[in-house]
Amino acid sequence: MQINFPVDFTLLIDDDKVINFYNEKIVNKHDDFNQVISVNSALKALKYLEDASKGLAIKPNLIFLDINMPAMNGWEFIEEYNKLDTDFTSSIKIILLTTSNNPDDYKRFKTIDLLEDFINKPLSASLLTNLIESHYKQKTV
Amino acid sequence: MVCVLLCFYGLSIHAQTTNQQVKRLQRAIFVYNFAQQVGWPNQVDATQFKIGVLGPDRAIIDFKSLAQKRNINNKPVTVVNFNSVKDVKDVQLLYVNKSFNFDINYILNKISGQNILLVTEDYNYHTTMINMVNVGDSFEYEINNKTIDKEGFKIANSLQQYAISSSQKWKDLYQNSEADLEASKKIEAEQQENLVTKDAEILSQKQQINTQESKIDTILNTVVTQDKWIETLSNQSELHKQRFEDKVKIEQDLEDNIKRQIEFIKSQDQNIISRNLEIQKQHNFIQNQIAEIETKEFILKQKESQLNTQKTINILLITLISLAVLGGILIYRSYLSKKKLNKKLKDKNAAIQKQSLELEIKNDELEQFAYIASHDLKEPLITITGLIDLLVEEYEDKLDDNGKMSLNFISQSSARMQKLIDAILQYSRLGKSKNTTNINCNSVISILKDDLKNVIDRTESTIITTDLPTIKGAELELRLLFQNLISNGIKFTKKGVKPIISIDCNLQSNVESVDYWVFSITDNGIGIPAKHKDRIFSIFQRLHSRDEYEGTGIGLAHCKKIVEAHSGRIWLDSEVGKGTTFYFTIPA
Repeated sequence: MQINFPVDFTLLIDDDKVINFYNEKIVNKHDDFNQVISVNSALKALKYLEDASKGLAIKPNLIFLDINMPAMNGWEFIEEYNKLDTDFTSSIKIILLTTSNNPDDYKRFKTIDLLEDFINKPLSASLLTNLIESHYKQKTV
Repeated sequence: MVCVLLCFYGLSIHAQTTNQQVKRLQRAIFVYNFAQQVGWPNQVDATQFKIGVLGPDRAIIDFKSLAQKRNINNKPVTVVNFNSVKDVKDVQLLYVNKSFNFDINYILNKISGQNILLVTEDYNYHTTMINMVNVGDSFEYEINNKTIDKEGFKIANSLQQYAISSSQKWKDLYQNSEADLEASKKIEAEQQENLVTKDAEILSQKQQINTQESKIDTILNTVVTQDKWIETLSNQSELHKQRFEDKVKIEQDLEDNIKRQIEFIKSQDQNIISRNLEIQKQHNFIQNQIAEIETKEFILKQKESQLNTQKTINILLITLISLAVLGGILIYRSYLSKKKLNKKLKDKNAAIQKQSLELEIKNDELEQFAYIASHDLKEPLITITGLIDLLVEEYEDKLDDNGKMSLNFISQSSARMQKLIDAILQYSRLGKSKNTTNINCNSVISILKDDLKNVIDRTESTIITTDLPTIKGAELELRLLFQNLISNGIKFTKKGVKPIISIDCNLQSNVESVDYWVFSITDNGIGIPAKHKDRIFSIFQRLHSRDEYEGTGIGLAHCKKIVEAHSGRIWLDSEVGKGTTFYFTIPA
């Protein structure tokens, strides 16, 4: 176990439990990621973040967000997320993780600065490595 | 006249008694009486009456003596003597006695035209003018009217009355006088005897005269009484005078009346004059009115003509208007039909729009469906492949070869399904792009060469291009088009054959002289049988097994859809074993 992980705590938001199971496995396997937790709805994710902002839960460093979800989709989650305290959220990176290769979704992603990246499923070890390379290595250097 | 007759009568009585002397006087009186009873044509002119006597007649003495006592026609009488007929002139009356044997015809001829009355004695009946004849102690006479009228004399009726009117009588007289002469001579003797007795008778007559004088006295008395009568008559005349005065008064009254009437008439006159004036005025007024009427008539005529012109104008206008109305109606009808057509067209357009809208919605739905389907289908597939990877990674040691191969097949199938789903998704999205830009085809090919570098290098392919044009279109789609065709050219080659792909383009124009580009991509591949020429452009149509040539079977369907979305056409020429040329057109 390494003491210093580039990503200490990862939050997975996807309505599919199977995907969450798979993604947890992939993330856990990767050396650069420490802890991982998954929620199966955007609402639950918001609740978790509110708790985290109050110190009731662990604050995540990275969020993998699915777009197509029932009740509240990814975009609606972003709107609610923006309402949170920026002091709390500024250190959190959000990456869209979706099966969608719909260019409209990609265009919309480009308009939102707060989103770090747009990744197509399935998640894989190589993808995570690339992600660390592009989003975290620079900081550490 | 009675007086004259009395005179004759008296004379005749005297002739009987005083013989020759008396007869001579009688002759003169006869002649004077003739003159008195005859009217001369130019009687007034002469100042005296002249009597001529032809021959040495003693009658001239008788005439002259009578001229002392009598005038003829209030003129003094002179008596002249002519010895021959040719001396006769300047007399009103000529006396000729037959005893001097003057030719009567000669005399008549001579005195003709001199207004001389010829009185003859003892000439034949109706040979002179007035012819006297001795009858006893007196004279008878006859008048030859023929000669008298010829000279223009007018014989008084009384003279005519006592004249002898026929020649027989004349002859008788003549003979009687002869006999009488004898008898008278006898009677004369007897008378001489009677004379003594007559003297005695005269005495008695003187006595008678005395008685007569007394009678005259009585007559004088009667005259006095008559005077008295006359006086009474004069008194009566006084009365008459008074009556006359009354009458005068009445007349004056009448005059006054007349005057008043005259005044009345005058006033009436004035009235009439004023009336006349009024009439004149009225006449003037009427004339003015006539003039006015004439002017009005003129104006009327003008107006009439104006009216006529107006009428014609009106008629023209009416025809124009009716034409315009007709035209308007026609236009309106055509407008209506147009409107109807327009409405139909609109309806149809609306229907079309609705349909196109519906189609768009359907397309969107389809796209959405395809997208969601692919997304939702992909996710479990991805999960499956991911889980298989995990399984293989974590449990590889515990599986036998069959298990490993099964897992491998599952993984491959999942991967292929992923590709198919992606292809469907892509196909559904093709032709949706509306961002047409100017695309330089040369740069598109060079980018593709970079993208396909691995494949090109691996297969040792050669891509030859001529200078390609810049066209209008959606860049991503066109790139996909070229990519698919080039990939196919590389893919479908026999093993050991190095693919050679040549890309060309030229400008052509169709029947409607619209220019378009014709692109050709030629390969040296396996070729396509003619019977499959159309089929290969349908989705998921494959001519070969996946073992021989991998692929989804959707590439050419993509190409067709892209070309048609750019209003072009795609077709191919191919010879099996030698190669295929794909052609497509893009409007210039």
